[in-house]
Amino acid sequence: MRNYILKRVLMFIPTVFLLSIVVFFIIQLPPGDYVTSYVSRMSAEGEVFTSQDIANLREQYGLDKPWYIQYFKWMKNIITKGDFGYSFSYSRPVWSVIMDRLPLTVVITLIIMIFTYLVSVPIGLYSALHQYSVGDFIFTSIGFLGLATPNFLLAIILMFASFKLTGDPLIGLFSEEILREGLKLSNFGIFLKHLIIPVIVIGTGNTCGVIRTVRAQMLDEVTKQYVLTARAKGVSEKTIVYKYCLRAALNPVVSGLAGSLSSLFSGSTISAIVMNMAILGPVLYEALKSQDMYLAGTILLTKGFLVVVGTLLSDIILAWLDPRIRYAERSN
Amino acid sequence: MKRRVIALLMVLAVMVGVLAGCTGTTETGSQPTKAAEPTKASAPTEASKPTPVPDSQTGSTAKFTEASELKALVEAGKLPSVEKRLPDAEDIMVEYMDSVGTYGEAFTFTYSGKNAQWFYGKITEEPLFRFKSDGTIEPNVAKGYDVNEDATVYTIYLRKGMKWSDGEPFTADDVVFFYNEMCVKETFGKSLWDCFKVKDAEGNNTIAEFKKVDDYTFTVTFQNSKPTFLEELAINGKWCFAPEHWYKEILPQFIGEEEANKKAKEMGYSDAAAMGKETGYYYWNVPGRPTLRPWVVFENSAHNDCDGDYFVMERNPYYWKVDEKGQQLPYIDELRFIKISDPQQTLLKILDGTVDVAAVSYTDYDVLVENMERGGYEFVEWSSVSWADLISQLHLNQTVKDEKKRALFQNPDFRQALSIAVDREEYAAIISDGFAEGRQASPAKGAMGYSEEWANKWTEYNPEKARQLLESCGLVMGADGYYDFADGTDFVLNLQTFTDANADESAELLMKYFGEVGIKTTYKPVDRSVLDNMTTSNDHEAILAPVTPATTVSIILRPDTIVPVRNYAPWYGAVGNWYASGGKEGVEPTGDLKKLCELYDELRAAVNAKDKERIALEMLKLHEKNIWVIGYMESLPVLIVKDKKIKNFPESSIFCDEFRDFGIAHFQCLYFAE
Repeated sequence: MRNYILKRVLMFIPTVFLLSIVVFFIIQLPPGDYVTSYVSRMSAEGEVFTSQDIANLREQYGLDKPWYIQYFKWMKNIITKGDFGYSFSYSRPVWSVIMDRLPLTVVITLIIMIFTYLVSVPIGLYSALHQYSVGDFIFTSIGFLGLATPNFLLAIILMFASFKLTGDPLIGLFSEEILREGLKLSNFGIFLKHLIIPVIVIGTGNTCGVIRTVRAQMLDEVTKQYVLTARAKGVSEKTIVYKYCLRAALNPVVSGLAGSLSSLFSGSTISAIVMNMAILGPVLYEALKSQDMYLAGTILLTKGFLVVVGTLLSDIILAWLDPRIRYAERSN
Repeated sequence: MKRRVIALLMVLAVMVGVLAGCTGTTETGSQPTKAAEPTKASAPTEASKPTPVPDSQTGSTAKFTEASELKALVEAGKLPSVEKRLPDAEDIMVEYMDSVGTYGEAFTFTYSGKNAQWFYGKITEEPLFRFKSDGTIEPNVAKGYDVNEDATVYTIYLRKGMKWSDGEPFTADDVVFFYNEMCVKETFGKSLWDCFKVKDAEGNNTIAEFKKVDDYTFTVTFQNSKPTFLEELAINGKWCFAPEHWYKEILPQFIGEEEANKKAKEMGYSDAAAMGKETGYYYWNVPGRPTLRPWVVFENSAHNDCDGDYFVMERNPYYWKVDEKGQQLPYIDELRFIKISDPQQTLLKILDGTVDVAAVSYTDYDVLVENMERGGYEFVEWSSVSWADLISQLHLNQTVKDEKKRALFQNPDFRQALSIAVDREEYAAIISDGFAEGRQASPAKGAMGYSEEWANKWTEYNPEKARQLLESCGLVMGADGYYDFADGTDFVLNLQTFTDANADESAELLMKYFGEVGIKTTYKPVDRSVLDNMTTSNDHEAILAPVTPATTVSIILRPDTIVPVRNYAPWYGAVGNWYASGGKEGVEPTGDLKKLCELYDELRAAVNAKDKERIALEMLKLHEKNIWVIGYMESLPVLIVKDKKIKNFPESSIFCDEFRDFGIAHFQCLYFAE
């Protein structure tokens, strides 16, 4: 077991290293750089740039050097100083831009995740135990509808419906009042109101997957020999379902949780843009669009890092949970 | 249809004004000094009419008044009295407006973070001299000026007792400092603007010299005559001052490189260069940087991050303008900006009445009309100075790299064929839902160089003739029903545009028309920066809806989009580079295009306003003859939505960068009333 974990941790380092190269390389791929996109945006506003101005900008941002030199400089600063560089478009340190939005991002994503699991696990269970019943069909249809409707479209429809019905389109997570005065107990209700649309939109997009997993796993479990044996021995139906089957069925769901570690960081980008949520997804999108490479690079790198960490964690948990994996390792 | 008529009338009325503005200066005489006379003689004294103004009711002298929250601060001893904050009474600028307003309330806008810095930059901008909507300029931060006979020495007067937003005095030192330490040294990452340059008698580039005379007077001296200096300054130079006292504590030339870098880090910038650029050029974003603007961003404000979700510009207590009654401006307490990530959110926020002023698209017209009652807004239309509707402008790169295509694009017959191959009536009906009419790309009605002939040149729909013209260009009909080059290779016209241009519909139509006369056409939208990059490196072919469309309020003052002066507009391609580099780079033009460049040389050298206008008209004639930019539909007026309760908002004006877009509405004079 110790060797297994050690091996995994050792592999972790080159993976992250390779990841960082790939990330940086891919960001560099689109034609042009931050200066081109910046100049074109500001020119559209009537600002005038001479070719000398543009060359100066490149020099200031260090964009006049080849990408691998930029990469090594960036990496060196990260490793030696923990400095992730400066965001060109925000003209301040990348990490401060990220930290501005990270707490809210994590809170929102957690709320949506909790919503997703609270809704989908019971539904999946119900569907499995009442397979092909009317309820099963209804939940399945709703689930698939949620999965099939593009999130951003649902968001627009709900915002417009809200505008038509109440006169307030509920854009963003905060009303103007909260933005001005900060989140307080007195306006917490407004904040909750603004949460309705995001939770429905992003939540429904994810529930279907979980419902289907739980349902399929449960259906698998209830036909297994041990269930038959238990039932023959007179164990109550409730114990069979909740103590044995459900536990086994939830295994893939729980290990899937580790993978959602990175979506905590920046998930549901498009929906967040449509709904004007002040979380990290839109920041990443803007950074990629304007080729603000250190900002985009840092977000992507962190995301990748979290995926790797998540996988590592789930590997370890699985090895701990499932003796078969440990045995396989030992026999190697 | 009624809307259209109103719009046209308005364009006419306003544009005639512009023309009058342009020509008016020349009618007064041929002396360069005279060109600038209207502003010199009358405006300064009038604009800075001494206050206090007699109170109409009692005949006594009205006192200066201020917003109640400032009054509270004065009473609490936290702020000097309003008389002490304003400039000396005889130098205060008085804004004359339709109606005198009352204090209070806020404007709310949506914005997309720092990308939108020019939006709130322009509406709060205070230049030395500002444009009026008739195209002439008037003193603003400056009180007035004198100029010598041959327009080489300008003496500019400032307002005594005027203060920065932090209460420090604003003097000639701040102007001289800005020029010497920031412009000439390129502290904010911009090379010296053209308005400060002039060619001397030998044709060498020379730069202006700024000199302080006394605290409120300075001179600008040129090596050669510069009759349009003030107009150019209003366009290029905009503001022409910076708070010396503030910069002395952060710039490397005063405190040393090391210390400056340390300061920069403290302020959150990567180094002193970045700090210089952000605080010097985009200074209105920087909390605590003193300005002269009506609203500023304070260091201790909770919402001073222009990249944050919510950003507020607050009233400048030291603002130096008053209304006729002696009320210190601005009327509105603060400007609030809500960050959005998608333009549709702005639309929703207009519909629910949150946004107070915004330019909107005609495609949203129906939904906007439907919700007018609820949102409490009304429409205002301002003229546009674009030569043709943006997505209906076709720029054929005159220096396209493919030699065969280059010969073709340079052939006027080919351009005529592309122009008459399109049924403009049908095109305009489809593209604008009947709002606009088909037209050739040419100056807006009433603007300099406008002629009906030009506006209608090559606009008759005639596919038969187009085919003949294509054949006369040496193209041969191929077996596939499309024209080939004479050597049998395929000819394909590749239309390009940028993805946000919304040009898909117009491109599809053009492809249909071109296909009908036998031109195989492709269409590819790319990211704006990619397109810009292609234009810069001369890798573009035919651009629909160019990033920099042909548009100008005056070819004399701002020629970039219609004269190849630098790498900018797509139609002249690498000629711009050729001109800017003095023939070292780019592609040398031939024929009329070369003549255009030569005429521009003459225009720049001309010292006399009448000559300038003659040359400008000659240049426009060349455009009319060649139709380098093909237009298919007129440019519609800019559609603006504003809260019904906002007063003093101009019913008609021109929406253009030179007039600072919305800036010409003078937001400090707007107020809310039932």
